[in-house]
Amino acid sequence: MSEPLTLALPKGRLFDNVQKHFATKGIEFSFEKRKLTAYDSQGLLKIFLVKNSDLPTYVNYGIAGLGVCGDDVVYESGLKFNNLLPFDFGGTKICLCGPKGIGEKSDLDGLRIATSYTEFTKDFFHNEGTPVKIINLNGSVELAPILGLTPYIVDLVETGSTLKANNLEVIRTLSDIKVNLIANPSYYKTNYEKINKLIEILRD
Amino acid sequence: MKEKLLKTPQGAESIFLDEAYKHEKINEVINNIYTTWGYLPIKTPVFDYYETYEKLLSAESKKNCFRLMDRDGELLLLRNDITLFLARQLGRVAKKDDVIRVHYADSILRHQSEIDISSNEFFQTGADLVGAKGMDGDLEAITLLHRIFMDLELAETKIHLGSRSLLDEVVHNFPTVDIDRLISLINLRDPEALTTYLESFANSTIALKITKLFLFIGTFEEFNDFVSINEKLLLELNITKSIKYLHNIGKTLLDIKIIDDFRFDLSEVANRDYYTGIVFKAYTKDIDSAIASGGRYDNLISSFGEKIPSVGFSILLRKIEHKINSDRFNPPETVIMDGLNGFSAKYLRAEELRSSGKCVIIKGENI
Repeated sequence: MSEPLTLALPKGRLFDNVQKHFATKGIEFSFEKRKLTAYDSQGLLKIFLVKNSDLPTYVNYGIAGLGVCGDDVVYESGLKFNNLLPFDFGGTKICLCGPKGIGEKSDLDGLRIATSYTEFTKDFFHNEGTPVKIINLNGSVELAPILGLTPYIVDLVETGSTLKANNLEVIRTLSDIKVNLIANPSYYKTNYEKINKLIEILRD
Repeated sequence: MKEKLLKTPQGAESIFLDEAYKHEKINEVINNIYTTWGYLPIKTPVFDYYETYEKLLSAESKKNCFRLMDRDGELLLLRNDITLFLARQLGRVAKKDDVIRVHYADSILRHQSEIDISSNEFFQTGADLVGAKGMDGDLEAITLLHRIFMDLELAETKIHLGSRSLLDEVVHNFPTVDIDRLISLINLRDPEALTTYLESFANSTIALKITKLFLFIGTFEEFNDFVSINEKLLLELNITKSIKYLHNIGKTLLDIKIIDDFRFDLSEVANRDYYTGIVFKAYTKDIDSAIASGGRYDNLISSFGEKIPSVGFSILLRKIEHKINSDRFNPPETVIMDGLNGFSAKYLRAEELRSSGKCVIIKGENI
């Protein structure tokens, strides 16, 4: 049997989506308790379970040749991959949000924004020519306007219920975020036949 | 205080003992190949004036290069791409009809983040055939690279052949295409994004076909099939010249029975703007990026002197050293000279053994 392809999957909610989607295509796998590696039932894949934000690192170093990852995580990593296949699940939007009714108003420093997505935010507003001051937070960014740290946040928005609960609203959608099958470019070049077959299996 | 003295910036690593021995031996093997192919060494300076190269540096290179100020306030560039420095040297001495074969092996200096140890692109060995027009020059470069990988016994290595001129021919049909954007989308290998971008310039059928063209990778046989199926598109876009050229390269590689080690990869379009014709990269199993790259650059030397067509490649040697396991690159067994009285006796015996090819360590008092 030929060597399986290596695939990194993120822990958490996205993992469940991937597992379900792969199962509908006949690729089934599960992880024994506390184990972080597994093989699928057909022996096509050797799968690693990693932290979402670490996934690009594993793929960049070729530890896992493939990964399933959102555009946001790839962007923040600053690394370059092949984007082989977009998935229908896990899509979201990255938005500029603020307190209800505030609108988009710059002070002398420009927009003051708290976000976990500093690279994306910096590049987005820089390319647009809007001056910004960015504060990096690693989570619960909705607190920033409530506690007076910054009037604005840039964050992923799915249903908007967290925003609503904190009296915030979407001011502007900055970009759609898709979940993709990514590959280390060199790994793709050395395994393109097998990877192309996998893409055919997974394609919706 | 002492721990600060032990900190080393990325890219400034030393290599020691067995690893350094292996590095030198591999280099020696490669240099011998260059010599047997008629290539002579060239040494480029470690730094040069930044403004000399500024126009030729990609955005990526500008971000990663080291610049420094000399005592007269001139901005200098530390050598970050040997091909550029080599072109500058040759531009000063080479004449239009000269044919010069040169090889080099040297460090390059590029910024690498302290928390990123993935690149390891600090030592290049390579060869350039300067003054070589046309296919024979290209064939010489790619077969020389192939010979090196064969001699290093670097298993499961494939050289991917692509074409920058193919990209230029396609773009010729759509003058408003942003070529950098197109290259970044080809490198991304996202068919949807690439097709969507091309649909701004062509109808969706053509856009989809061009996407398939630029994402094609296959064996020579698969390449020929792909060309037959897409003949109409190639004629319509007037891009048969580069495709035919690649086909002829393939035919020669087939004749000399090394075609299995090559892939025809139209997604190889070169990230460096100075390439003008064939481009190629080598990939090997379990290494996280290309181990060698090269191509034809017919206009680069004219930035520094006369217009002299050239082709060459460079190998990122440090990336492949750990993959090369042949015993011939390990330090030889040494004999320890002991048991005789006094240094003189040991020395004389050691010299006898050394002249018969043995490696001998003299065991003296306290050493």
